[in-house]
Amino acid sequence: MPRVEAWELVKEFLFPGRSTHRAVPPLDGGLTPNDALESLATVAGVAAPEDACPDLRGGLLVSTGRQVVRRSGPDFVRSEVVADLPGLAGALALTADGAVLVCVAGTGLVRVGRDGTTSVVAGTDEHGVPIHCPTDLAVAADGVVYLTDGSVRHHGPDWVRDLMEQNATGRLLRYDPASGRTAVLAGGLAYAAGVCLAPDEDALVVSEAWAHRISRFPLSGPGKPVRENLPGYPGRINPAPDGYWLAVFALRTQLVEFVLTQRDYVTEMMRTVEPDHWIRPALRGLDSGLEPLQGGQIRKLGVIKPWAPPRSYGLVARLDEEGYVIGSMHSRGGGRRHGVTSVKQDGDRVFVAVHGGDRVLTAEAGGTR
Amino acid sequence: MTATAPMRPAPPRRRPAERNVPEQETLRGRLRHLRYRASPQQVFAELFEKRWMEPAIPVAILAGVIVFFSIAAPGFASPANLLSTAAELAEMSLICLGMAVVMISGGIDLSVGAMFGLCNMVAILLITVAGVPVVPAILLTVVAGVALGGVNGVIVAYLKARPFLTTLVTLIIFRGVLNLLDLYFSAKTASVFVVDPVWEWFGTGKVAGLPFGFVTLLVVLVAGHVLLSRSRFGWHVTAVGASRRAARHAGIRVERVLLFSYVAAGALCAVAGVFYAARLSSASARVGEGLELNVLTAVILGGISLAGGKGTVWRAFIGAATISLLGKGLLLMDVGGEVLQTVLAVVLIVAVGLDTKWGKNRGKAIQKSYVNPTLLEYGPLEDIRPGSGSPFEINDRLRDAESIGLGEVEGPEDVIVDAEGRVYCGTRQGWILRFSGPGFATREVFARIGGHPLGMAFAANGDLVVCVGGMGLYAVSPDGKHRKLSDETDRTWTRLRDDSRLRMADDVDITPDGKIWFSEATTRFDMADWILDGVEGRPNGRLVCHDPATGRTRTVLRDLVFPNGICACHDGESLLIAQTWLCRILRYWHSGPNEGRLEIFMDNFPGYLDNINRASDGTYWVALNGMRSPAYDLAMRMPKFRRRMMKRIPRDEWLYPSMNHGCVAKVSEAGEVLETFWDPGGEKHATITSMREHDGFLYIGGLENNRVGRIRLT
Repeated sequence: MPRVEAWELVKEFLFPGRSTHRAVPPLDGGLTPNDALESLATVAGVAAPEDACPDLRGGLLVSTGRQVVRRSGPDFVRSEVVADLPGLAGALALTADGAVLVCVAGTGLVRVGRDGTTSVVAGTDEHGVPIHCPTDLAVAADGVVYLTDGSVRHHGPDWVRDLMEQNATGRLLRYDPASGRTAVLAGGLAYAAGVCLAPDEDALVVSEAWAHRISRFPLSGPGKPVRENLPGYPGRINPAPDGYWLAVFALRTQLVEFVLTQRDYVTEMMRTVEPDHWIRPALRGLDSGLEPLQGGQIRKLGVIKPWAPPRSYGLVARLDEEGYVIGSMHSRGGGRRHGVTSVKQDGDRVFVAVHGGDRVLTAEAGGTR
Repeated sequence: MTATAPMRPAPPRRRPAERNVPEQETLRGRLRHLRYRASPQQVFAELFEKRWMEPAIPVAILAGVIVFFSIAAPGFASPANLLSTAAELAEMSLICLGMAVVMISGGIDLSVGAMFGLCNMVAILLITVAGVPVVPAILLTVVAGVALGGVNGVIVAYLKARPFLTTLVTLIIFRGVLNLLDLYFSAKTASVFVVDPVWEWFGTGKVAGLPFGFVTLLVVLVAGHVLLSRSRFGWHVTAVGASRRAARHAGIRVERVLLFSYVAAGALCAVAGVFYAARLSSASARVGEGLELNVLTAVILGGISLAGGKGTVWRAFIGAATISLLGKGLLLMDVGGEVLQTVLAVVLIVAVGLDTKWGKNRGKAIQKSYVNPTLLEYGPLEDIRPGSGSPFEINDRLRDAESIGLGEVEGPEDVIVDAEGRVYCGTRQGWILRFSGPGFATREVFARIGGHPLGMAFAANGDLVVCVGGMGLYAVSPDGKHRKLSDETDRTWTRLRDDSRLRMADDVDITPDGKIWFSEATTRFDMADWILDGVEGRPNGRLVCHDPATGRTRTVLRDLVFPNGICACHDGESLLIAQTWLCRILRYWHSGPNEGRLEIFMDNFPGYLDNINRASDGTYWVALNGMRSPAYDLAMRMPKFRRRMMKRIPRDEWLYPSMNHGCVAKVSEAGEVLETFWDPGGEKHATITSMREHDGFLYIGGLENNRVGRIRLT
């Protein structure tokens, strides 16, 4: 989407009140900052968990790196490798027959049987376009799998390139295990990052990270946005009683929003600078002087202000059925539990995969409403 | 890291370029630099900051009027026309001046036209009907004007009536009296012809070719200017106009000041009336009718605020001249009186609109265009991450630093240790703290200077010489008494902005001959905004020398990009100057065979340099207050990107130099990096601005820190 700077300024002058969705809304209402994530119990010290999914036998499946591991026992201390995968493991889901479906970056949807054997069930869609960037999946009662593909250009940790290029090539897919076919339900999504079935399974709730919005797609027919201009990048969505859990993997900052409009700078930055040191949202702070610093992030008298512009941030949002945020848990500037990639509820326990914090957290479900 | 001094010998006595010159620079690159170095925006901002730029718009309108009618109206520019206009202008200006004084005092005088007409009538009646000699008659007329003004003044000041209503009422009353006088005496005045040289002199006399009235006006203008801007009365008038309550609290007798301002208006109207009477001898009741509209237009057009407290006599004159010339020009173009009124009304509306906008937006425009990014290039950024094998390789040697005064000190930019091992540091409260005793547990406030004490050095007599950000160069004697050494240096006459005051004296060192050398990091930004100078990246700093023997302070090197650390070299002949935003160190010879030579000592550091100090073994300690981040390096190569960023997002969101990770480095006389001390997470020492070696220990200060650090050197 080309933006002519002069025209933008003229518009700003003529219509000062008009929203261009560039203004980042403040964290208020249900998103009022707190430090709730900092005090949650850590159940598993795993490196960069992408998803944590309780299994049927009381264990916890965690995707980390190219593996899916199962943690079990009291406080989930026991660890065993369930499967080794050809790419980075992402979202997890259980099927009715006890197998595990895993989104694997660069590969597609992989099925891990009870015996640990892996098989690629959906590597391309029905037109032969590869599913390289599967981000989230939801399994319906009839066994049909709904899948989001973030981008056809980049996958895995390269998601940030997709943001910087301002792509909108994500897709919503439907995999039918009976026929083995994968149909495209919707395309042109700005990094579809999360999918979840509505309570009566008549619609899908999909998050589009780069568009900062959550849309509702009826099983047949075009989708329509339900919540727009979120202050962060919405990621995976999972069901909760009377609503949803939304993992917001990073917050938008005014600097990033501004830089995205400056294509000359972005092009030069992508060409000459390592991705870790870009002006970008991140899942974790590297604590390095090579990362760009913003005015409010300077450590003053030994403290980084909690409200400093966040390069990385930890945020779990609880949505009601309409998609309104009714509660949230935060890890703010100066905190460590940043980059929440998944929130799943099982009974009265909530499991939060904190990618940047290298841990999975548990909470009592009642505590966050 | 390259030791450039021996490898790239600069031609002797030629100053190296005030920027980082890339190794293979193309002509295009050089032109790009030149383009960004020129900054019309900065000239603009500094010009508009000037007080004398306030009437810029009125002057422009006046010039426009003159140019327009010189071209459009036949005979406008002829000497005869200009002379007759000058006579009319004199009367108009005197009345405007009266109105201006009242408006500056926060009021308004609508009765000026009526007073003018009445005084004209009084003068003529005194001379023709009463037969009073001319000179006493003129004086009596002025007294009458004073009395009329006094009526206004008493009602407004002492009876606390509103000026608008009061003068509206007195306008009607004065006009009524004038009509009565006209009714009874007009027949008599018409028949008498005054023959008196003084009276004629007032009407048609010339001084040096100019009408006497105009010369009188010039005298009144100069006197009025001195009175308004240089005298107690003038200041009181402005103070009352700006804020009556504050003026009262400051002890100003508000009523008296108000009374005098109305009296002055009356007197000036009377003088104008005398000139009018002498010139035209017309005792008509219609003299001065509707004049208040013209006068008000003129004064507001001149830029004298309706709200009071702002204005000069010159602005009143400019407004009067504009209106007079406008009227005259339209008259010459054969435009009817009703059109003239319409034009005046339009001019008034435009002038009021511009006055508000100008007054409101000037400051904002200056603020918006003040930071003015330029092109800054850096050499390749060396990989200094752990495992890189670079001399700057990041380690964690500062992680175990002990803390002195943790939480008891805020912002110790520099630290210094005296012979008894006591540690001194400045704080952002403007204090100098001293830590002593076992474990440095005793904290004393050694001196309270103000500002933000930065670089420190001990003089031979035991005085602590301190650079105080925002104040200048100070000395603190061992008993804690402080005194100012200097707060100004030579002004740069090629600059619009007066930079003679020391705005941000930063680091100091003393050479063996007793001279005090210090850096002024930037002359454009205050202490709290020092990083903005980096976002701008222009050569705003200078090296200054204070000689205690003569008490003289002079600028030695100007136009340096943020000279920060200053260190007298071990050879006794040269200084090292650390330039923060250029990431390089200069060497300047102040004496000896190389005197006056300036060359690059080291360049292309991977971070931003702060203070430099001598080490005990003939080497130097250098503090890096932050690391260069690739994204920021890139932004520094793109000044337009930075300008847009500053326009579009708030300051806390701006991309800053990466100040949360710094280090201390030891460099040799030959320009090699010998060792470094890092605190990778920045938990203890984030922004490291200084270090001082003393007795086997290294003391570490940080501008934003809440402690002084100490490590043992092995």
